[in-house]
Amino acid sequence: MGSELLIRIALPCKVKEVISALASEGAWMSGARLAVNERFANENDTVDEGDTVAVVPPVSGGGR
Amino acid sequence: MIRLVREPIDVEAVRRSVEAPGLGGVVVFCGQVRNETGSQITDRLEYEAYEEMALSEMKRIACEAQDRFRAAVAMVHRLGVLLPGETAVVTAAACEHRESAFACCRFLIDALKSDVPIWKKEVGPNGEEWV
Repeated sequence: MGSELLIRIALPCKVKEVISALASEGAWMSGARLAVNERFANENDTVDEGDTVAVVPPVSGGGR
Repeated sequence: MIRLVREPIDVEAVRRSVEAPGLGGVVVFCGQVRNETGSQITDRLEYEAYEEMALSEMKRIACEAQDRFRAAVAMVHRLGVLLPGETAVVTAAACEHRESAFACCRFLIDALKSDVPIWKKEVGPNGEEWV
C-alpha cells in the first residue's frame, strides 16, 4: 500500500496478459485475483479502454 | 439488507430484515473479534474494504443464495477499528424451514469470507499484520 506502478499494455488485451505484466514487475502476489469493473475476472476475459482493473489481494478469510 | 457500516451492527435489525410470514426458520451468524489468534494477542482489528466491489459481491452472493435456498437474506459487515468482543459481520437467512436456513446462512458467511474484498489488520503487542 502506498506505492505506485504504471504499466503500459496494448488494449484490448486478456486478463492473463495484465497479470503477466504485473508479475514481470514483481507486483503480483500469489492468491491475488484481478477484478474488472468490480467483478472478479477470468484469465481469458477481455480488458478494454475505460475498464476499471483492480488487483484484489487474498481477502480476510480467517478460520472456519 | 446488504450494508457496509462503520458503527456497531444492530443484530436485531438485521434479523428483523429477513422476517416474513411464510418463513419459519431464521438463522443469524455473528462473527466476533477474538482476543487472540493462536498465541498472538489481538488488541484491535482494522477492517478495510474495496467498498464498491465489496457491495456488488455481497449483492451477487445474496441473489445466488435467494435463488438457491429460496431464502430472504441479509449481510452486514463493519469496517474501521474493532475491539475484541465486537461484532464484525452478521449474516442472516430466513427460509420455510430450519434445515435450509442453516445451510443458507453458512453459505452466506463462507462466500463472504472467500469472495468479498474486505481485509483486516491485526494489531497487538508484537506489532501489526494484514491477515
